[in-house]
Amino acid sequence: MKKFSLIVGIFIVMLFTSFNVKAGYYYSYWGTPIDSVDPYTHVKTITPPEIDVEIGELTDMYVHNDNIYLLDGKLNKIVILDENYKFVKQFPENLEMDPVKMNGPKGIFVRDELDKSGELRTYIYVADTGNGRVLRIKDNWLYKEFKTPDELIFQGEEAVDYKPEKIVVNNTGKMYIIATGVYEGILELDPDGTFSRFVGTNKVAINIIDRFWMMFMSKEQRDKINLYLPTTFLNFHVDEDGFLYTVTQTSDGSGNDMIKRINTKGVDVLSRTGYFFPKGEVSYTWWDNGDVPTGPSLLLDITANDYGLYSVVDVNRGRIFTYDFDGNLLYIFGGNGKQVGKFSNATTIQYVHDNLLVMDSTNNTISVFEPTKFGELVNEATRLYYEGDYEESAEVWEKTLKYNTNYYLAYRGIARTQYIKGDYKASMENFKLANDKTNYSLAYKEYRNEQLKKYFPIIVVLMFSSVGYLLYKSIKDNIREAKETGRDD
Amino acid sequence: MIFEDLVKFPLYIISHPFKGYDDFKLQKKGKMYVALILLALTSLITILRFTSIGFIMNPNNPKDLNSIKLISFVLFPVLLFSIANWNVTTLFDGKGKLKDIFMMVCYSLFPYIIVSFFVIIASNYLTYEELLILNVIDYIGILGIVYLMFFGMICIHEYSPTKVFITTGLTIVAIGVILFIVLLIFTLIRQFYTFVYALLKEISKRY
Repeated sequence: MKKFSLIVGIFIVMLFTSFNVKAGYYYSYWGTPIDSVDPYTHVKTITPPEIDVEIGELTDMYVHNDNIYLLDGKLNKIVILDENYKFVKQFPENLEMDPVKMNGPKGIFVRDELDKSGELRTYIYVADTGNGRVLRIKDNWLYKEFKTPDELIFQGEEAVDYKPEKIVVNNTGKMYIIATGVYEGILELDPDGTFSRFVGTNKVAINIIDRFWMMFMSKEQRDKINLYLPTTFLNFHVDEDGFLYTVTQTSDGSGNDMIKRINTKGVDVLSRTGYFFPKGEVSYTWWDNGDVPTGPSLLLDITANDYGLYSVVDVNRGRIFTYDFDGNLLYIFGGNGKQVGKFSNATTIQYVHDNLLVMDSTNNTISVFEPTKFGELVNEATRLYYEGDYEESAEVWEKTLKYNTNYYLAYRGIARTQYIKGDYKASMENFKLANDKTNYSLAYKEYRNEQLKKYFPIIVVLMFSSVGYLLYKSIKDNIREAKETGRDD
Repeated sequence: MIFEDLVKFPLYIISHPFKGYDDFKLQKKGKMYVALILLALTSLITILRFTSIGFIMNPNNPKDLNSIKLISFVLFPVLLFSIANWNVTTLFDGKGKLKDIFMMVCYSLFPYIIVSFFVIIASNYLTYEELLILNVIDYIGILGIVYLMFFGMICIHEYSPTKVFITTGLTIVAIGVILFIVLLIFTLIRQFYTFVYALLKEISKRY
């Protein structure tokens, strides 16, 4: 009886613990979702009542020197929080006495710059969408505005209204602006606000069927159908080296270049060597049963940290996907919902060191996510590999496997170090577990050479002896035959 | 005796296709049990190709292994081709019986079996760069099937080569027709099933 109740007790405990386990997911080599450990956990949600500020609708967020800059697109103000998520100040401090009068601003960027007297000061850049201008606000609230750039598309009869939506500034002071209805790409402005060029134009995607019918259309018909426009950029991030990480809406459903890393020349240089293209969800349903979101991910924001890790947020399912500098999918977390730590409209993400802030613009909240032990290890291993410390990185990957034995990137990380060290047999085994065929082949080649070197003398001896034996036998047979038949030649 | 039937004669057909297939038909050297064994071996080979081909060359998820599906991938084309070809050639005064055609198709699989065995074993000992050669060898196996079937049809139906080309084209059309009818039947059955299912559901919701 005692035994029985013990078993029942254990069973009940197991039942409850299994409910409490928050399991994330991950994609296997074959693109099927598999169980994984949660890489990040929700630690805090910052709400407007908590910081004691009235907020209309948060449109953007930027983290600079551990301070969080929030942009309110409805009440047209900027709110600044410190690293403990406490309210510091807001601008304008009094809405009635507003010197700037922003109108529905959508993008914010903050950066330290030398001012005219050679002092390092914090500047806030705001894409003031409604007023069609970009503001550069000094920390003493004096500001400078950049109006419509001197470009052809903003002039003449068919001029596009200049509505800047997002802005980043790279380390040379050049401004990059995403504007509404501009299909030519990202606007690049010189530090003094003059237009320089367009960067990173997206391609027009026309599917084959449409192109086929276009062949039979007259010119009038062709004029009447909808214009095929390239997809526009939704958001971007600039890293320390001046690379622009951009996200685009998918045009043809494949979305293989939804995420781009644009260098200063305007060329996409994102490394896509992972098993899947970095594009958020790998497998998804198109079949709408009303319960689950359909179609590919709609990535709204991207953020990168200083060792090449970048995260994107999918507003469709409220999930965050993190990739390393090679384009390997590292982990997935988050989700849409009403619970704590879930989102209804996750639009912006930002790294604060290794923590991730996710802004929900419907609830006007900011969720703070902290890496779990597993997430920490993955980040560390990636960082060490990025810095070239392969041995250390393999040790960290080894630890990662204790948390998640399914994690093929860990096997690959270990195998790469073993390969560099020359332990080919072990690295082959780990490459096999990681399903990395190219590297497995390299390791196997070395291993095979090793084996050949080892057994080459034996092979040679065997070959010579067998050939010698056959020769001996045929000569003997010939002699015997010759004797039997009586011929001697 | 089995060795003679199973290995020597098919090899002889490969090297002397005309003579081989004449013996096959007229001297009754083609045996039904050999044909069935060759067919079974081909099924086995497709399964081995899924599971045991070298890691570098293997794109399959071991979880997806479905041996019945793989066997049917061999069985159905062979049967379909035999029946379709028989249908066409009876109209074009082919001399082959259905049994002859079926056996001829099975015997034609022989080079593919040998090549595949070689490929499966060799692929385990090769690296990426060397796989190109193996792919070429793999194609030789498939070309071998075509090569043997071509001469087989000439001999069995007593056709000229041009007539073989024409009947092969018509056979492909016939296969299309057969597949269309099969698909039609299946969709009809499915529709009927969903209809009955909906009806039952309706009744069960009502009472």
